[in-house]
Amino acid sequence: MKELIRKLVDVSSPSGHEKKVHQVILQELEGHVDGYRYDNIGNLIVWKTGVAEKPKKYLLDGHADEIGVVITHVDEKGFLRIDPVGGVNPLMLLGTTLQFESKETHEMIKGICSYESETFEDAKKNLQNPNYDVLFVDIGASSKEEALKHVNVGNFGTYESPFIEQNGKLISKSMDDRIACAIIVQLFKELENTPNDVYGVFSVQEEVGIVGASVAGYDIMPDMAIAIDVTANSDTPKGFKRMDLCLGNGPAIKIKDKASISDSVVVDRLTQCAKENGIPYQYEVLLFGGTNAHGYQLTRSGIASGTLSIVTRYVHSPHEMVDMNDVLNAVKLLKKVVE
Amino acid sequence: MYLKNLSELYGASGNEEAVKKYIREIVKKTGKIDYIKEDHLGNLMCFKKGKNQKKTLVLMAHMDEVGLLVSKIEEDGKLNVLPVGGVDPRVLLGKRVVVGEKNIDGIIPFKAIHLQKSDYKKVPDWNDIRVDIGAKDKKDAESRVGIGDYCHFNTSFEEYENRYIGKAFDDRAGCSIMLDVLESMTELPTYNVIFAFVVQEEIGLRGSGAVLKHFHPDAALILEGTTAGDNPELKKERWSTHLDNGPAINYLQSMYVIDRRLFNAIIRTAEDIKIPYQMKGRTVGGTDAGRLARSFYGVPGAVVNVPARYIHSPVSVMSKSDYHHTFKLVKALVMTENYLEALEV
Amino acid sequence: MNNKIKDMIFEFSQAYGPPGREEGIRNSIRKRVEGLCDEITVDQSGNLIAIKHATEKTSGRLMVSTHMDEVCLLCSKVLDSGFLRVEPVGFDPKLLPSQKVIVHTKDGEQLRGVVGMLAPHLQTEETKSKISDYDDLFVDVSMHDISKFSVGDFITFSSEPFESKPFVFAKTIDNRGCCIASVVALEYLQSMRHSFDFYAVFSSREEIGAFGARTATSMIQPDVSIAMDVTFGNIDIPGHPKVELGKGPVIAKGPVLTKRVSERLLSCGKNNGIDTQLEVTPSRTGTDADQIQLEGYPVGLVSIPLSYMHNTFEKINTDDIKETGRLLALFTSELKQEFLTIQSEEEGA
Repeated sequence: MKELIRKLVDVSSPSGHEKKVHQVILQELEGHVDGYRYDNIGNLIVWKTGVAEKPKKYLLDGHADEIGVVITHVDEKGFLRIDPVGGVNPLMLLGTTLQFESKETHEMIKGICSYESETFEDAKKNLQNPNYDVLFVDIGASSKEEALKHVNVGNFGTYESPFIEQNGKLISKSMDDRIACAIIVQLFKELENTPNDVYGVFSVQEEVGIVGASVAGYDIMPDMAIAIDVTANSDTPKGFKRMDLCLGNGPAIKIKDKASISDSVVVDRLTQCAKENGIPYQYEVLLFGGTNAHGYQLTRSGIASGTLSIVTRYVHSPHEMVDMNDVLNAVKLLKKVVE
Repeated sequence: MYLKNLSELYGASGNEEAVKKYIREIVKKTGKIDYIKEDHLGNLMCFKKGKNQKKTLVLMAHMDEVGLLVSKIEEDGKLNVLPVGGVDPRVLLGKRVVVGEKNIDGIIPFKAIHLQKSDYKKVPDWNDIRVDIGAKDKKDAESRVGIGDYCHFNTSFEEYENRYIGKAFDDRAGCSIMLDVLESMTELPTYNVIFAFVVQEEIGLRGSGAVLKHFHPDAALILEGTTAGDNPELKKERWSTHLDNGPAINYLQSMYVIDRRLFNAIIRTAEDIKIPYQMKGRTVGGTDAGRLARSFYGVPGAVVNVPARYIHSPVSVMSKSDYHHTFKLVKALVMTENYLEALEV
Repeated sequence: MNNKIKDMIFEFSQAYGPPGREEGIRNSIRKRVEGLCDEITVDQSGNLIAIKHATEKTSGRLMVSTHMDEVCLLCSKVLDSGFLRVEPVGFDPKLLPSQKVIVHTKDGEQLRGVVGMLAPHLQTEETKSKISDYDDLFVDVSMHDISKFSVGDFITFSSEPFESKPFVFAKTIDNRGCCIASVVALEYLQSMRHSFDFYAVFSSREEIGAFGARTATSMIQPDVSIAMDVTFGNIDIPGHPKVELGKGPVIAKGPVLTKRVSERLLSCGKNNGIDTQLEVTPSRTGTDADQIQLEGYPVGLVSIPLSYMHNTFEKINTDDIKETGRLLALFTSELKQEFLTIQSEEEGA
């Protein structure tokens, strides 16, 4: 499964540009699904039909997009100006490598992000409190013409960072939310003769505002929708004292975040399956953020929805860290839920 | 070209009736619409069959402008107001407004400069803003206006060699272009088109979603009047658009990434018909494209903007050539198959 | 009637019902409406829907939506030393010190907790001038075995309601006071003729912004609807007309609300001798009305004046609840099919 995860996090697919990662996902799922389609706005929906006489319908959602940046201006000297796509804290960009797909070569062009500093005072201010007005990206072009060979205003890019495996942990960009995509793909690979209909939705544009999941359930109207997403952690030095989320304590059954409170039938089902099968789990109350569960809860006449989270350190940075055991346990747990 | 009349009509969010009436008359006069539907919210939807009826485009602009609502009448006959949509209180000082259904004249004064001390640099807040309609006292005011009445900016439209000046170009410019497109049609468009004039965009994209309950379009093309920022106070890298550089195309807006297939189709079409166009330089601000993508079954969309300086204030400035080029672009997108067929990729 | 209303306030205010977990209040309301309607269902989002069919041939559906969930806390971390860290749903931390609470555990127990505050003797000048926020607060549950608690346990407040005629002091009158007005409307309708089916929706999850009202509307597809919520009473808000307890239901005017519905509510009040007050909402109202409008249906907003919103003791005048219920019943009874016809036109051009 590690190879699968690596393949997925390596793809550069920011919000609105999920096609690339969708293609990798479809390749992986070949032979493991009964069908797939894209809906009106580009959500990839796959399914396996259940063998029971009156199958229940389960929907598992992992958002295919990752956060990134977009080029808003190319100046005379070939420097790029950017705006964020999703929640990208400008502090995270300083000293970070970004990548954009080159028009000319179709390879990924790297860019280094830095800040304006005409005076020492400016430098201090901009370093302490950077905002997008004072940041720029350097792709090493010496002129506007040279830059325009590769990129243009309106091109989207993402973080560029290596995939690291160490001490049972996996570290890379876009664990949010490729780890969920990997979990769903792995689940479909393992599902055989399931009694129930299982839908996998690799939704679009979650990071800019839960767009895909607001409509993905419309034609399916499952009995239960479970969003799989990363959640924050409290187990690093002086981590949030009011939260209790630890790597390695198992997948997290979300009770509440800022966008929703998980339906009790979902919480109960996840708890029950975990308990009955000896799968470790933890409960989650997140003090900020939201997931696609919110979108499903409000679809048409309502879908019972909740979230299963993977505790992740350094979310929305170029190096997000997860515990492999949590991931494997999440697959195990979801398998029991849908069977 | 209906910009003058549309700009001068009064229609803040929730009060679009007069604008709708005018547009409906023009639409009916063209005789080119097959079917008109109005819904509970006040949206006006005009359906035109295409040569091929397998696909439908919804072309959309919003009828509402920002304005004010009377919230309280003071003992001295002056009115307290609250903003409807994003109104910066600083643009109101010293301006003329009209109040209520009878369009009673009023002004928004500020203390005489001679009497200002520490309040010279004070940013007015909504509690300080008052509308004076020349009433003697509360009773007198109540005989002419009421709580819940709308207040609109009162601005006359002006035309120059390459400039228009007026209020509400966001988004009467979009409405006007839609009427021009409809009127100038000499044959059927390739596919069906819904000309949707929607309400309440300015207070949170509240009207457009309901259109999807009456029709089932495949894609949306939103027309907006958008920010420019091309003035001496903002550095060039942070301009949104530049007047005279042509229609502005979005790739990212607040809470929605423009459908890349439709975005590419717009660029291709602009290149084909050889009009100047520009990329929008800023990604703030939402449009109905964001609402349609996340409503009901979801409809992908893209946005074409006419640049306008000083939107959301009583006086906006727009380029004539930009208006004209935007019209040409929109016409091409509506009449041909490129836009809707881009979704097949 | 006022006594009945007082009893309902006492009962509803104590019923368990955080957003997404409204079982307790749902049962309490259900018992009260059982004899007053023809059908009762609970939908996918936990909304309780009570339907009273038209007494004659039905002209359409009128939906009245009031949310039944309450503000509360959740346990976000369990400390072995016998304390809980908490996360709020709509609750002001300033009201927490010295507050008695109830923790609802996963095993179904209701256990006492106390939000403590350091005694003044042990405070410093610095800590005395600070308002504690959730990062500083904790719930003392040391009187119980700590293993009974887990992250995600819901926590509600203890507050004993009391009456001081014509007022009642209790918690969660936002928005159960309005739920009571719906029940009162159903009572009045027992002796009225009406040609619209009356859907009393007691909606879920409003306090966290995951509106049950949205999904209920999608399912019911009402021809006319009215949202009911509480509004700020007896307090000066600059630029807004003063709304007072005891002066009757408040009708809202604004873009989100359908003009014809607002006007009809006002005229219904006038014609039937019900005092009403006016408020203005220039954009979103912050009530179920916003959701109903987004689904594309005509909606009005009626509010009941309330003091000390989201406090452990809110204050309401029971006359206002009664008059609001009466207004809704009369509105329903007087609604005729003609009201619908102008709302949507179709023409060939």
